[in-house]
Amino acid sequence: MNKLRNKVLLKLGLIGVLGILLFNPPFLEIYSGYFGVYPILFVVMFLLWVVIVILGAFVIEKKSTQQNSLPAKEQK
Amino acid sequence: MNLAVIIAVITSLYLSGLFGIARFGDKRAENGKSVVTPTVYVLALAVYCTSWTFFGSVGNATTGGFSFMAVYLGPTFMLMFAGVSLKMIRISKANKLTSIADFISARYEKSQFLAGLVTIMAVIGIIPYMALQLKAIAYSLKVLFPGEVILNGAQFLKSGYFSPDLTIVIAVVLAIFTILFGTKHLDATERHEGMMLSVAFESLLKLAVFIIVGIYIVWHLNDGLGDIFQRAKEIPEVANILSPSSIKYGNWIATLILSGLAILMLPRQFQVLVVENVDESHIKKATWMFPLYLIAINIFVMPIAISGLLYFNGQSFESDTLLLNIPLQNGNNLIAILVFLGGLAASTSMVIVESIALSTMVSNDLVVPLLIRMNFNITKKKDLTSKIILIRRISILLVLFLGYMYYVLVGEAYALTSIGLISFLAVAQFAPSLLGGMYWKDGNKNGAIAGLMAGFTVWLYTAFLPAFGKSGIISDKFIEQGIWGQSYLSAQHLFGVTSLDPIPHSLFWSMVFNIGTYVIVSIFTTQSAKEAAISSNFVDINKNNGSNAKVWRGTASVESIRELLVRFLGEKNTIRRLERFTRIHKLDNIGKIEPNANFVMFAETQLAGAIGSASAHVMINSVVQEEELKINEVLSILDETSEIRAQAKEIQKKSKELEHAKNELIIANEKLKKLDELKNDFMSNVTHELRTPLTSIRAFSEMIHDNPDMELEDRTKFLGVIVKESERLTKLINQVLDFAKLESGSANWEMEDINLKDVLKDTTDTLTQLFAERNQTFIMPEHDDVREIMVHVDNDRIKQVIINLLSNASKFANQENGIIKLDYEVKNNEVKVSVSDNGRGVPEEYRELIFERFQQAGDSMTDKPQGTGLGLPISREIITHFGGKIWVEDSKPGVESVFSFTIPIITK
Repeated sequence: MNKLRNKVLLKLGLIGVLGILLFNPPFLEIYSGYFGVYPILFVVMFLLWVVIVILGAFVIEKKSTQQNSLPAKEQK
Repeated sequence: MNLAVIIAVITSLYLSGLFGIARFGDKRAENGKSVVTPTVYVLALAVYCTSWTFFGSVGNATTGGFSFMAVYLGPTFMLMFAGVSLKMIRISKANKLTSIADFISARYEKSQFLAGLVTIMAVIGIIPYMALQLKAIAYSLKVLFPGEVILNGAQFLKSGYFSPDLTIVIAVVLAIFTILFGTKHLDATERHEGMMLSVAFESLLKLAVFIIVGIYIVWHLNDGLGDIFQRAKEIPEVANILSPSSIKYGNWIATLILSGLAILMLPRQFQVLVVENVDESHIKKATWMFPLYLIAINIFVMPIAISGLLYFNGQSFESDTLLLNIPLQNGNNLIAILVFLGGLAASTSMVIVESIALSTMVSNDLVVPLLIRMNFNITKKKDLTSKIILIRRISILLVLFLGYMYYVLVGEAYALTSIGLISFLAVAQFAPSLLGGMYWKDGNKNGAIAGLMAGFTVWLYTAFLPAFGKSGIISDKFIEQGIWGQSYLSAQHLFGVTSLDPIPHSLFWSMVFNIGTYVIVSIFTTQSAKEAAISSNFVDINKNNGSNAKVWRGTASVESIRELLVRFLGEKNTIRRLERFTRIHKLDNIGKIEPNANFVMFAETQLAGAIGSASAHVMINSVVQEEELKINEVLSILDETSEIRAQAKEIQKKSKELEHAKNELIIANEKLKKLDELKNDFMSNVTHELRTPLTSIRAFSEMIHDNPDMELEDRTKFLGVIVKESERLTKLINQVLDFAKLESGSANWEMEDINLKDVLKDTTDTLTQLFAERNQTFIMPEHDDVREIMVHVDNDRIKQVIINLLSNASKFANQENGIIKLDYEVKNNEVKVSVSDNGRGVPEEYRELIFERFQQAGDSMTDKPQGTGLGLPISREIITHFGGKIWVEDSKPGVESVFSFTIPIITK
């Protein structure tokens, strides 16, 4: 159980690291110019942000890990 | 109706609504129905989005482009490191910690000094943030009523007398609300469910308003996003803020770090994330739902900012109130009122939660310890609950008053974002001690105190005081020229570093001093035995399944501890907790409680919920005589505890293994039972099969014996039967023995590579005579393919199978015009051999059964047995050993029967 939880936490952490990399220079400098009239910086930043969040949700809410990954016990 | 009246009515209605929601939440919680669902928890976490987000982000975007996003990306990434927040929650639950000051002090030997220091730092650090909220409300009112006089800082100082403005009225209302719902319980760990629900509602409201305003500005005042960006592209100054070059990377990285830390370290975030957490699994939802909220509330920031820039087209405007100004300029009072309401929600939620968190810290970690130190007879008072609640209420008023004063004195000099970042910088100073304490066992109290003081001093000098300097309250010379004219001490260019903007500059130097001092002092000073025990409990909380090792030795009296608990928790509360203790430790009643380490530490933890861990430790020590433990004794207790835990784990593992073994035994037993049944069947069948020929032999022998005058012809005939039955008996015994050998695996196999074609030819040659005697036609089709079919088998055994199948075919073929056919086919690396006859066929229900021992097709009562009933089971054993299979083909009964087997061929 702990192993599975640690694996989920590790995957989430890696997604976090990926996010930090993508939202910092030099990557940030790449997102210049326009898609038609839309600034690439606007489109890419929100798109990447959504992707990072969806990846996180996928890892943490995956059915096979739901039972044993992160605690689900009432703490009250 | 006058706009002022509408605003007043709406504000009153809104605040009353909040009261109602909070009341509803509290009622439900009192009835044991928690309202803090994962969604409520996530929305309450969105208290992070204050008026800084609501008004400040748009203001920031008008000059800094996408820089504002760093404030929201930081928390997104930090929450992905869910292990950190999870560990914080576990430690807090195990120790009943009520605030970030409590957390840090509990880790470092429950130091009262450290708790007080963190509290002072938090209060000073958060005051600008409080001021920011009040400033936002004041500015909203100023925009809504430009003609009216609202007292600002400068006017206040000049007037020299107190004339209450609307901002202070709102501050007072907020204080009353916070007091009513935030200081209801003494035990802060009992949480504030009503407050959580109302804060969640406010988060929903500010998000909804922001989206409505966004849609209004983008699609009503403009022709959509494309239109806004197209027009922005044509104006170079506006287009510039849409490119990456508008982002200052130093500020960007600093803001990412600060906001990431703020989501954990801000007192209100700690309150919601940790203290108000009712279920650890809520963190799962928070990890992705909270960032989604942040995305939603930020999606319109840039389009609104650009729209404002395009609208005012070079004219000066107040960027922080753009959200309010745009609808007002377009004559849409309804949207303006909504914006005011959204801003009010953003401000009030922050003020409420932050005030509760800070007041808990002020009362638990500053005032109560001071009263204890001053011998204020605190231990002798009968019931102190009402006194402590009063302290908390005064603390709320004090914190709000200080926030108001900061707004009055400094608020005008800074934009909302800058004020917020000063507070973020302050709380970031907690990170080294807090995170270090969670992951580094050697981090100690001296290191934490030194680190915090160093970091905080640098923050005061490089971030907090320059704000006063810039507002003209104190001289601003030190900002550029340093104190005493020493330029290397310049507040915003410390040690000559000029490449960093003020915020990253302050972050860099404060962290260098904070982390450096924490690590160096921790390395060069030693921990006490007690601190070592606590650090082990904190760092290993996950290994210990969220519980602490009980490191305490001394003498205590249950009665005196109970009296102490009653003073701080009240009679009813104390009894409830003691009953819980008896339940946990399986005691009959409260009278059976022993004054041992378990009880003393339980009492201290309960008390910590009311007055903080540091004060609780002092109070408990005032009624018990604790023996000082040496470091090796503590380590031995910890070892013992971890050994017990390891043993418990081992026992759990063993019991699982036993359970598994038990199940395997049950299965094995079932198998044995079945085998026993099979053995019995086998014995009964063998006996039956042996009895048949023996009966014949005996009967014919007796007939010959009893009739010596029997005709020679009859005698010869009878002797023939006896010989035939004896042969059958011998054959049967041989087959039984053979089958037993095969089944037990003790048969000898002489495996070799042989050509199956040769085997088939040899075997059929030996049977040609038999077929001729029975007038049967034997067919074996010729194949064009002359290649060998090499198989790895035992030559005699494979012949045994073929002979058995051909004999059976001969036996069951049509009596008058018998046709027996043998054929083979090579397919998919195996050879399939089929033997067919034109006999009565095998009915479907017997096709599997005939491979069982002593089972033959047909009616056992009427049909004469045609063999021993072991030929096919033996054939199956042999073919299975060769890695093949044998079966009866699907054929029409009464027409033919086809038996086939396959064996793998050797491929070169």
